[in-house]
Amino acid sequence: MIINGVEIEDTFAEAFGMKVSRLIITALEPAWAKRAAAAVSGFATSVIACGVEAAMECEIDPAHTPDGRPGVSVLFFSVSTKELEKQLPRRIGQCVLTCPSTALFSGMDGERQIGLGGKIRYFGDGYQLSKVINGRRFWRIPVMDGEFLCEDTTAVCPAVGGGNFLIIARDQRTCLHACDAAAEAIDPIAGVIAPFFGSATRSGSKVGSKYKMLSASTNEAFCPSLRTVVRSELCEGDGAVLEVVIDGLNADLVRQAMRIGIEAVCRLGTAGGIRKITAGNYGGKLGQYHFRLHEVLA
Amino acid sequence: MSGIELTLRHPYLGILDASSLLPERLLSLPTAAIEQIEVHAGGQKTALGHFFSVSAIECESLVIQGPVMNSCRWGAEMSSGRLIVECDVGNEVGLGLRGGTIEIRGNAGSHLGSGMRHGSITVSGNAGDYVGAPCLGQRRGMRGGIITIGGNVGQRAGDCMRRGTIVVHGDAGDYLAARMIAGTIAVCGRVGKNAGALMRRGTVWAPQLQPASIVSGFSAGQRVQIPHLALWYRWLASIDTRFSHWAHAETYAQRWLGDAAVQGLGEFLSPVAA
Repeated sequence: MIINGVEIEDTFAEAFGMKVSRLIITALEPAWAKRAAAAVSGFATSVIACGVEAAMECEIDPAHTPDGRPGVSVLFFSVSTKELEKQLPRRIGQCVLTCPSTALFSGMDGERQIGLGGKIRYFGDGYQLSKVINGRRFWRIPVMDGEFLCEDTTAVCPAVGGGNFLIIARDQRTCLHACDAAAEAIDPIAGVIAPFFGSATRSGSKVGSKYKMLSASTNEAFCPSLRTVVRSELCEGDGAVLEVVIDGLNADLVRQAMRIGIEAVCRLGTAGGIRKITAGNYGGKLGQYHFRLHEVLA
Repeated sequence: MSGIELTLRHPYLGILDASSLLPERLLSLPTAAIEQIEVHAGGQKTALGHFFSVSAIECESLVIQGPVMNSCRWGAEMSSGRLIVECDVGNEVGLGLRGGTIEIRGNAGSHLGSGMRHGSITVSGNAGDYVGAPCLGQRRGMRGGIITIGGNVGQRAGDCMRRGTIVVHGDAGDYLAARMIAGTIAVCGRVGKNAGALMRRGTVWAPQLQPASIVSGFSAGQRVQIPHLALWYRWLASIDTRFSHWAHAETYAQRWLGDAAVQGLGEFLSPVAA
């Protein structure tokens, strides 16, 4: 398949079943809500070492937030409910509770609930109060700028993580611009995040390593500097490769984001330095979801 | 499925215990069988048909036409369905309510919603003392659900209240929220004396609150921003149009915290301008 001169390799992206929770952070001013979102989704690029993959999903108009203040929605993906239950209170305790004027709400419904404010509340040292409003329990924790309002629990739902595509370009700058175009195109899609900053990572990995203590290591087949010394997937003239990683609430959303992202990159075309689009997989043995690029773009 | 209407045949001066007359039970029975149900009245068991005429209606509810001021315990331990009382009603309506809705289109006696756990009770008129208080002989008051009173309530509303919500559109009598453990009470009108006596936790929201109404174990009033009021106002506006003007109100309030004689985490909130 060729789009605007760019070859789309006949391969597939291998993605995994994950667990997701959506949180809504509100604040007195939009900037503070965004700061809290940036903090809480920091160091959350990959479940391999961060525990969760997280990013801001979208800004929310005050008319649509629970407390009528400016807000942002943040999606958290993890490999298990247990891991989410471990990660969320830590991140909220250090990044949202600490951020002035913020309040925190669950942003999705689901049967499975995990603790949120129920764990943070102890910071109140006995002065915390709970309030049940419309069947939902909130904790009011006294802090130095007033009260931190935090929902008691949040829902956890099944999701899909690890959708991806690789951009092979003639040089690093071209590849970066292509990622910017992909990120801009994917950003408006609700229910989807690209957990790496700028949507892309340069350290695409393969499973395992020559070193026993590592579970993942550099994907040498896509390293331009090793093209001539390893079994490379790159051709002469391929100067840089970046991987756009996508997590979504379901497979359809991931598929949609992959399609829109790839189309945005392909619009740059060969004239813009884009040489090829491919995808990362592990031979199809690890992930439950296989997104074939040709089907995604059909 | 249709509903049932019970119409009082003639005024009855004794006390009639209506705890056995629940919508979930009566609506599944034929009219003749309902008339044979025995109720306790004046210390005796008497067939229901002696007091009430029974007729089928289209509305899927149990409707009571009275007056039934001398009857008590309507909707006691009710778990589902809808009970409509089209007149004044006696004491202990909704005692230990577990679910469903009770609408009283008149006044209610004392101990309304005592010990209730879920469901809702709406009174268009006034209610007596001990609204949402414990059932007689018990220590904990209402544990969930919502009671809405269109008029005034008597003394000790919310006594020992554990959870749930009481909304009073009129005035509240003395000892409002006394011994309250948790939950929320809204009083749109005036509040009587000794409010919050031995209150441990919970919230009383009262726009017309005067500091003199609160017992001395509360802190001095302090103007603070209470974030959860935004949610509270929106929820109130969504369930009762009389609160619609509060939907986007500021979340600043004068706050009194107490009663220091006990746990001291109860609060009285009176909204103020930003």
